[in-house]
Amino acid sequence: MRRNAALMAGLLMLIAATPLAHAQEGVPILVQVILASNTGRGFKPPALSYTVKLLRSPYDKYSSFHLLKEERLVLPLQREGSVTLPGNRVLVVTPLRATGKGAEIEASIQGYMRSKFLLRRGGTQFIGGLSEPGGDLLIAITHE
Amino acid sequence: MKGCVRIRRMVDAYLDGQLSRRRHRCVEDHLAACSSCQRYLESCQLLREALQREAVASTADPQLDLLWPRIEASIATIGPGERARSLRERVLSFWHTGGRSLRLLPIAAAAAALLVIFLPHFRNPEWVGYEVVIEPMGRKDVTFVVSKFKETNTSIIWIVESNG
Repeated sequence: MRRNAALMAGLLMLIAATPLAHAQEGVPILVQVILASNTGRGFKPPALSYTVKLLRSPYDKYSSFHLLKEERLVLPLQREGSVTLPGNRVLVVTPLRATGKGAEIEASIQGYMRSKFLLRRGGTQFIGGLSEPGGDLLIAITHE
Repeated sequence: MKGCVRIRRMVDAYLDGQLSRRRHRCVEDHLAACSSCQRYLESCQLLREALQREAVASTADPQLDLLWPRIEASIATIGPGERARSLRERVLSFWHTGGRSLRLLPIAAAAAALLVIFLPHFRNPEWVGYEVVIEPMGRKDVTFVVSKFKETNTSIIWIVESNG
């Protein structure tokens, strides 16, 4: 009886500790900065092939995508991570809470907006429309 | 005396005052002359009085006053220790016989705790219907369009600059 209880307590502690451990080691976030344009024949990184499918009307005006920057961040909860964008802009990403399956992320671009969204592991949130010479910026935030 | 049987059949009705005037006088005339029927009448009256007393006693006085001292005396003979032991014995008896299922209580509690911990992981209700929250910062010439793509579970926040 006592052995069973101890076993159960151990299991509970292990389960309870899993999200904590996940939060402590950090939330892995991939930020990709892409220049979407309809001039030239920009290469399409394989990782972005699905993005092209997503960009239907009114986003289907772009014919090429250039991966300008890619940064991997591993952020503890409530800790900010920043990625500089073209045009002296900065993207600030903060994981607010996380479980084993996903995370709530806050992403802000100073002077434009602050947004909050949930990302499953492997899910991507796009932020687009920032004007740049030669096209528009498309930022892909992926919870790896 | 002649007619005693017939008169005694009417005694109850005579005592109840239910006889006709003629029969009432007939009974009285007979009783005045017959000592045997007089004694029968008296015995009937005594019996009636006794029955009436008994009936009143059984309804008005249930004799609880007599019962209570006996109940209190019975309780007084059981000491406090004996009463406590009795309760303990009853609890143990329940545990060993009918209350065996209570032994599963810790396991049931652990299972419930597991459900509480695991259920959010399985269901993730917070993911269902969660909207992208956007808060503008500073610039008033900027609007936002949010497009969702169910097939890939992704969405796009499109920043629209009015001068762009």
